[in-house]
Amino acid sequence: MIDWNLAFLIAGAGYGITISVLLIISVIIWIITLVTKKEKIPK
Amino acid sequence: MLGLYESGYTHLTSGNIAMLLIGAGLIYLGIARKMEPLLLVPIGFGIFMVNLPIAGIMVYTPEGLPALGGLKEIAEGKIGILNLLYYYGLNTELIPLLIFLGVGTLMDFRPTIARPISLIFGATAQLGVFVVFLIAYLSGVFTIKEAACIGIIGGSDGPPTVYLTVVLAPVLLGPITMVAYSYMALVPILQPPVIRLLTTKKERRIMMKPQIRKVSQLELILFPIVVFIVATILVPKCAPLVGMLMFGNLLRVSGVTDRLANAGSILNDILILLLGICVGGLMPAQVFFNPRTLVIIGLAVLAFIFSTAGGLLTAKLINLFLKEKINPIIGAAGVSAIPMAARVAQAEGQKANKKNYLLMHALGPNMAGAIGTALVAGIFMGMLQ
Repeated sequence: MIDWNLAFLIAGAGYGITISVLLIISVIIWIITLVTKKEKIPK
Repeated sequence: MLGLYESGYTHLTSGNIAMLLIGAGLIYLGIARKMEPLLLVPIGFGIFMVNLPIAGIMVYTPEGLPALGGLKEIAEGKIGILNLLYYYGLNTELIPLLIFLGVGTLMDFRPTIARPISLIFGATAQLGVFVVFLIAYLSGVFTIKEAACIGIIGGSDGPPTVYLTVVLAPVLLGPITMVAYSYMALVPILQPPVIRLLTTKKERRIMMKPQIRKVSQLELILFPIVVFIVATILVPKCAPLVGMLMFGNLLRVSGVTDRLANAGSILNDILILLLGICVGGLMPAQVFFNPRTLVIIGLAVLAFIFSTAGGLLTAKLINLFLKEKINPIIGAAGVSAIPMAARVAQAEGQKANKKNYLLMHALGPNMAGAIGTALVAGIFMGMLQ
């Protein structure tokens, strides 16, 4: 028997988690970029 | 006379003949058309190997799965040499994981690091995976685990597709892998109509500076470490795939492990050879000529279309908030298929504006797509295994 709720839950949550994880990683990478740039300025 | 009865000729079915033609077609595409030759040629020859009757190179269970066993079973004649490769290489998940390590040694994440927003396109371009998962499951033709494996074809990345299918639906490994790798080669045909349908000429003309910013060695080294730690904390089941990919990449960028990185890329070639022949070996006529295989072929096209649309529409959405607009075509490169999807973005950008050089910008989402698909495989495994 097809479980519609489970299917939509997996698809919705799966897509949401994928976007959230990569969004978090992109923010961390962006922060690292800012920090490493700032470190270079005093030189 | 007795010799004739023992020959394969008398056991050759129409299904075998059709599969031999498909195998020949794949070899032709690989050699003459240069479409994914490293995979299509071994897959094509693998199809030959298992569709010539009584040869016993691969023995199957009544469910259509390769019979499992080791050297003892080979000596007893219960399994063939391809069963052994399948058992040690695919059934243990070793080959797709080690291929991902090799892929990591070849990947240059500088365009992704230079524009971290690329990672969002790599995520939203997984839309086709989840849409097709829903369609496949709700159609009633496939179980929920099989639907996940069909959906992930839309990520356009081989190793996560193989890895997930080995775990969740090994009986579909042959058709899914063949469809996934064949369609990856067809990205230059599948993507342009979607790109033109969802963008205006004005949008496709948007100029982007040809150069991306310089990325420091420290950023290059921190990237694989950050991606692995964050992804594994949030989606633990993606650890094997993301871990291998990022480990391979760290070997490449560390600056002190060049020999290991080179070994990884050589290992990659060996493993792709073994994967190709194993996958071809999973396509005997009785497994391949199944109405479900035709449905998979159709659903895979949908997955590619929705994934292309997902990345493209996100780029358009983000443009609403940006002062310096990005060309939305680069969002379409979020479907992995490295580097074909990025080349498609470059070609489409140049068709609209000859001064446009989108390749480096498109490689960012393209690389991010590989991380995105590995994450999706981990998410499906966490939810369905």
